[in-house]
Amino acid sequence: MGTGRRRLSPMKLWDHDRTQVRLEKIKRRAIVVFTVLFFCMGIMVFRLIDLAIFEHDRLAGIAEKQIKGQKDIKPQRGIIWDRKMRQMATNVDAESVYVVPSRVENIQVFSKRLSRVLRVSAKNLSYKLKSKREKQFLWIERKIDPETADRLRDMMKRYRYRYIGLIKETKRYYPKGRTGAHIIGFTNVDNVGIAGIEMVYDRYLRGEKKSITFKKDARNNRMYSEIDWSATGNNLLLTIDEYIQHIVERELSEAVEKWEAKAASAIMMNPFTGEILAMANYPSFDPNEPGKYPPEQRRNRAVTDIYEPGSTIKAILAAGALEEGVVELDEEFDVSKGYIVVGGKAIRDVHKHEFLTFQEVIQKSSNVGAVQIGMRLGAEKYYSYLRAFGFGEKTGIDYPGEARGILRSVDKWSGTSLAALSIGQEIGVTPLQVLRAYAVIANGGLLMRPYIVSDIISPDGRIIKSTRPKVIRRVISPSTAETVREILKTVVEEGGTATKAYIKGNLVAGKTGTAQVFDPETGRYSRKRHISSFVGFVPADNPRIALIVVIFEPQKGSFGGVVAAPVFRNIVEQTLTYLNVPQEDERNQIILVRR
Amino acid sequence: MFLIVWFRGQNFKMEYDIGRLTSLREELLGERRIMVAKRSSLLSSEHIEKVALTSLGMTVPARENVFYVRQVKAPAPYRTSTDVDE
Repeated sequence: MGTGRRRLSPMKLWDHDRTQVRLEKIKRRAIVVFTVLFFCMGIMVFRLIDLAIFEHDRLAGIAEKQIKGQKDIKPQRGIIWDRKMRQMATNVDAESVYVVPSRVENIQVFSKRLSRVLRVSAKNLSYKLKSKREKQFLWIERKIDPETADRLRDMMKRYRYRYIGLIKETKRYYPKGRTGAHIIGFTNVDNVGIAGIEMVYDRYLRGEKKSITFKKDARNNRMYSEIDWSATGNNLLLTIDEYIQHIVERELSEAVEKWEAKAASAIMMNPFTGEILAMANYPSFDPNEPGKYPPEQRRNRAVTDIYEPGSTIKAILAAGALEEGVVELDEEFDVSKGYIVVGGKAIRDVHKHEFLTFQEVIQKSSNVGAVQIGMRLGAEKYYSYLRAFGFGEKTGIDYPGEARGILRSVDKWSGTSLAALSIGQEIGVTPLQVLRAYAVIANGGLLMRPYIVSDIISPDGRIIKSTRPKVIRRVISPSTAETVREILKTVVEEGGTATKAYIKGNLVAGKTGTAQVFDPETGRYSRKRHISSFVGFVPADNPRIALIVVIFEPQKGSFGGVVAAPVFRNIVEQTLTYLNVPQEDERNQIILVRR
Repeated sequence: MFLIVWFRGQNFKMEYDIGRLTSLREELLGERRIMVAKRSSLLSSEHIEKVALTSLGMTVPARENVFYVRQVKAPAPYRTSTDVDE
């Protein structure tokens, strides 16, 4: 210490012993450390074996739960196309708003803010939240538009709301708006078809619900997985043509406005196959917002409503009489009185005539002549023909809510029934039934089943189900059908009741109908309320289309030949042009000769 | 060991990327559906007719003003021979 220098001790023999001792110590320590390490390793290996083999199933299950997510995929409804594959119904993404009411802190303030974004009543919203206070989930608004969804997201961000959210759903969308609305129908908010074709074919359109699992991380981020996320229902191909449907709807709306009518219906059909090319009603509705329209506006009157057909039934009477051979084509009927008394009831003609041939009775729509023909045919026979032509039974069309119509059996007829039925009274029919009966005359005597959906197509393009034309029965012989066709041609010619249905260049066969509406209050037929109709087919000798136009209660006119026949002409003219059917006299054909 | 960890990391990264792209694809498909629906709406007969009649000043043609052009092949020309058989 005093000198500050350390004295070096000299090398001695025992120094070697000390080194040996130190080495021994290190060796012992190493043995201990390695033993401990080996022991730890052993424990680890044992644990690994335990985890990997003995505990494998349990732990794998837990891990799987943590990394695998599960989701139910609601299938998208199938697409509905018209006959030319134009989309009539499809799906678009839309977001729905939900709230966890139990976690809402201040319902009043929250409702006020939310109502401003959703443009709904704050009071109603507040009431809804208060009444479901204990719930963990509550739909506030389903399928909102993208702009509202953006505004809502801003609100959620600004106020840091954690108890409100948006869920992506699919919404049914009808791109053609009102066109074909009555045929296609609509779905409810849960995409379940509740009207029209959407309802009838719901089980095909809605597809199968799918539950899928996918890989995710701790933050719920989805990772790659080879899963098909798409789930769609089957698609439908209709027999409807969107352009023809538009023509029919346009002409109907114009007619209703012109004649100040209550409503109007029209159906166009291929008489040989039963395919419905168009089916329209006015007033109509937008299937994208069906709730905004009253139920009577959403009703497909062409199929669901029954009315008395009036004189359009005379073609059926004529067909029955000719088939049974109870009349001759040029046989004359005395209608000079202008009325006929049956069972104490006088049935009158609108215009007085002297003698009319059988053909002229139909051409001029003589009630007196028709009653005489009906009497000659007899109740039993006439009833059997009415049944054979499909009256009093459903047509079997693939559309919901079809009316059967009213046709009482002969034993329930009164003394005036045969006469009344001969002029289209005491019978309730739908426009579709009348059109189908005329299609029998057009196609040579066969009663066809009308249909709207031609094919059901799977998402991968396979045809699952195909509808083919179906003959229900033969009603009249081809020769009788041809004779009636010839008679119906004269209705549109000079001297007939439907000259306004005349189409330049193409022969039309058809019949007018003017039915008085029965007034249950007075128990009589109303003199003011009428149903005007025209039904026919064109070109008469080789029909491409059969069409019926029914105008319900026009205020400014009543006769079918005045009110409904021009609508028929307008629709048919445009349709023939669209279908590339040239005029029969070849006036509008240019033939280019290629050498 | 390092390589295994690196490959595993890359694998996860790729899974995230594919997951993100799958979500993006779904979103784009949703947008596509909306665009197709809008296109379908704009191509409706009602809309086209409205534009044609109001904006473009077109009219619906009368039936007699529509001409159908049909092309037919001319018959083979009449052939004769001036050669006289001996």
